[in-house]
Amino acid sequence: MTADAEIEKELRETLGGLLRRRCDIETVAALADGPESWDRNLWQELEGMGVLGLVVPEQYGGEGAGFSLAVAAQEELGRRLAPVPTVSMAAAQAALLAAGTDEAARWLRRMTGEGVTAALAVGRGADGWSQDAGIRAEDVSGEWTVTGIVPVVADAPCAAVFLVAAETAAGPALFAVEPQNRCVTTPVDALDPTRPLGAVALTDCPARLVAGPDVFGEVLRAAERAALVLLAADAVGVAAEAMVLAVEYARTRHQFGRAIGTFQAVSHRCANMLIAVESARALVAAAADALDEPGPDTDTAVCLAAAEALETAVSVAQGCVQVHGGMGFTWEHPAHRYLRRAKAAEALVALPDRLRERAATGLLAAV
Amino acid sequence: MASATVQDAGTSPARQAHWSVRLAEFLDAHAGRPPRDKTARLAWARAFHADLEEAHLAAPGWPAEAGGMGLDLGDQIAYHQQMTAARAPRHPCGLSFIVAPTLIRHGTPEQKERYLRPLLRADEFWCQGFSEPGAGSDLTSLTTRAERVGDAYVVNGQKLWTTMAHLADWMFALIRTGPAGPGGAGISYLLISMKSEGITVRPLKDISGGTHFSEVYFDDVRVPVGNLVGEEGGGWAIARTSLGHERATAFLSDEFRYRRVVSELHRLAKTSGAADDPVVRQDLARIEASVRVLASNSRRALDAVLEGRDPGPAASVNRLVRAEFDQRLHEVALRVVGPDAVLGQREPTAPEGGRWTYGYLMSRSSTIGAGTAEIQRNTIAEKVLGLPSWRKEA
Repeated sequence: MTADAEIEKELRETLGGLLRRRCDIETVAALADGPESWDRNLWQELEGMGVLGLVVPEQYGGEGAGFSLAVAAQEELGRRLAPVPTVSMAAAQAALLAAGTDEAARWLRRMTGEGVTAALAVGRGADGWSQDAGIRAEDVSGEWTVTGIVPVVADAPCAAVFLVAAETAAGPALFAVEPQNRCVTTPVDALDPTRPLGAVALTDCPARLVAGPDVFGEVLRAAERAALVLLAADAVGVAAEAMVLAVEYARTRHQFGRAIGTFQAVSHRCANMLIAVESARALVAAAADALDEPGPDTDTAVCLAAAEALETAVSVAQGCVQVHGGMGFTWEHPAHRYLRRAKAAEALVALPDRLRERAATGLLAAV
Repeated sequence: MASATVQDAGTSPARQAHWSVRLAEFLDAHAGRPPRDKTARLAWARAFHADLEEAHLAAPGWPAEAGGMGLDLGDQIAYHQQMTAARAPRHPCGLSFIVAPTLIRHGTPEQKERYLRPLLRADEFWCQGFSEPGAGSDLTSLTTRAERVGDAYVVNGQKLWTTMAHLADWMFALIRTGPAGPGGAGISYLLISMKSEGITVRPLKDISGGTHFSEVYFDDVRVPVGNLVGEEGGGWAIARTSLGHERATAFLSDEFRYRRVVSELHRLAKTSGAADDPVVRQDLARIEASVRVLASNSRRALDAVLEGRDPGPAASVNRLVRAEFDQRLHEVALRVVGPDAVLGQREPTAPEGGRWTYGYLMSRSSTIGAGTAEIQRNTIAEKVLGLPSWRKEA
């Protein structure tokens, strides 16, 4: 085994072990159905393990391990439906790294050193993230303030800092905003409670400039790519575990005097799940490599992987419900929790068909 | 990938230079475009492989005592890359490499001596006699039978879907020599000369209108007992003998080919204007994702094999992914061809010589031949996912 593969295996084993102990489905369900759906204690443990700084270089207190390892960790987190804001965190870190300012460096260190949680308040559309979050920024004698309402911000209820896309007189820019009485988060009912949503209302709220209009476009793209790849890795984990549930049920549930997994209508559905999961995992690994060593194909690799993985998670989670029959339709059975995580992820950053459209543009331009 | 070693264990002067150097020289000396004419092209490929064998540059993965190069897996990959890069002609009879491992592992010294060299040189072609009209996916139910009469087996019955039967000198066949039982009992592995008396080959027109297959009839065909490979009744177990991980290396050359075909499809889409169609663009992105999955799965399987690990699910899944990819690729290609897809492959005005229409029709076999997609899904469900077999409880 190569050294990289060895490290990945070790990370998966350590993290997988922690999550089996600390993040079983009953714990996740209890949190998801309770008032605060994210797991602060688990977050602390992840920080202790270094999982929160995998994509951050060592000079900012991170592990400098890159996305190839971060996707392995995220797959394990997705597998256990871990209610922690690691996807938003990685997106924020990618934005800060791309920004390259002192302010950005300060936040990076706080994220890796103190486990400070982050969320991105940016414009959302079917095609992906945009500058158009409906926030304007004003320079009041050298101090910035931001004003406006962002109706849906992923992981807002757990964020200790928001990276806010806001319009300045010189164009869009990215600001860091800390929750306070001028920055109020209202919880929003989420299809997937393991990734809580909030509406963020900003009223002349003090803000620190992280990235100016000159680099904003690049910063937003970096954040979006990181979010897509981590979300795709999460989806692979969700799909892999939904498949395990379906296969286990097909093996043990008997009808007509035999295990339902002996019926090819069921077993072939399960085989298709495996094919889809393996394919998505391969594309996600390739996309992570492309992020670690960027080139002209990086965006295409990211879009193809995210489209495939996000759709795979939905189809496998739907298949999991179907294989479980009536049981799969109950609140009590966890099948719906995988389906919710999968279906919400599909719409969180960019829709799969739009991602494919982006990939096609890149591919055909290269011909 | 294992790096090439500088010395070679061989003693003859031809073996003293490193194989990759000798192969490069060989390929230089044999460079040239393939003849356009089909018959001439076949003769050209045969001559190439005869020369290759002469130069001790054939069969990189075979052991030296079987006439191969005995290279380790890393070097085998390098070998295939070198051959592909030089656009060297493929061995004109791919089926030969299905019988060869069985001969190498289970053949008598006389059988190896007699068959392997002509096989490598493409002096003799082989066809496979497995499928029958009543035995397809359920191959162990085959009924073509042989009776021992003196020093020969007398064979009667019929084989179907026999590729290259009209060109083949020999058939490796699964023949019933005893009562059927579990685990393919009563099936023997026989080598049958296609020039034997009592053999009738009838070409079978396939879906494309071409004749890639034949039906082969056996009417009291005498096969010397010396042509039995392995034990009588022990044919099933040795029929799928492989030399380690040929599949892993075979994936590689397919990968290069698929990558090229997808690029050609992109070009066609641009010239035909279909590249502006949002539906086609979705399809092209899906095709691209698949071709990358194939490449990645092959690499992962290869990495595992190189490190001495079991390639795991990636390898078992890859075959099915490849088969279905091949079909989707051609379905999309005809969508890209657009209204001209009404044209037959022989119509001179058909885009790109009708290749996409022809490829579309031929691709329908990729989920049927060598194990249907359904049987492969059974295998994945049972062997990889651990679901109970439908056989046991049926």
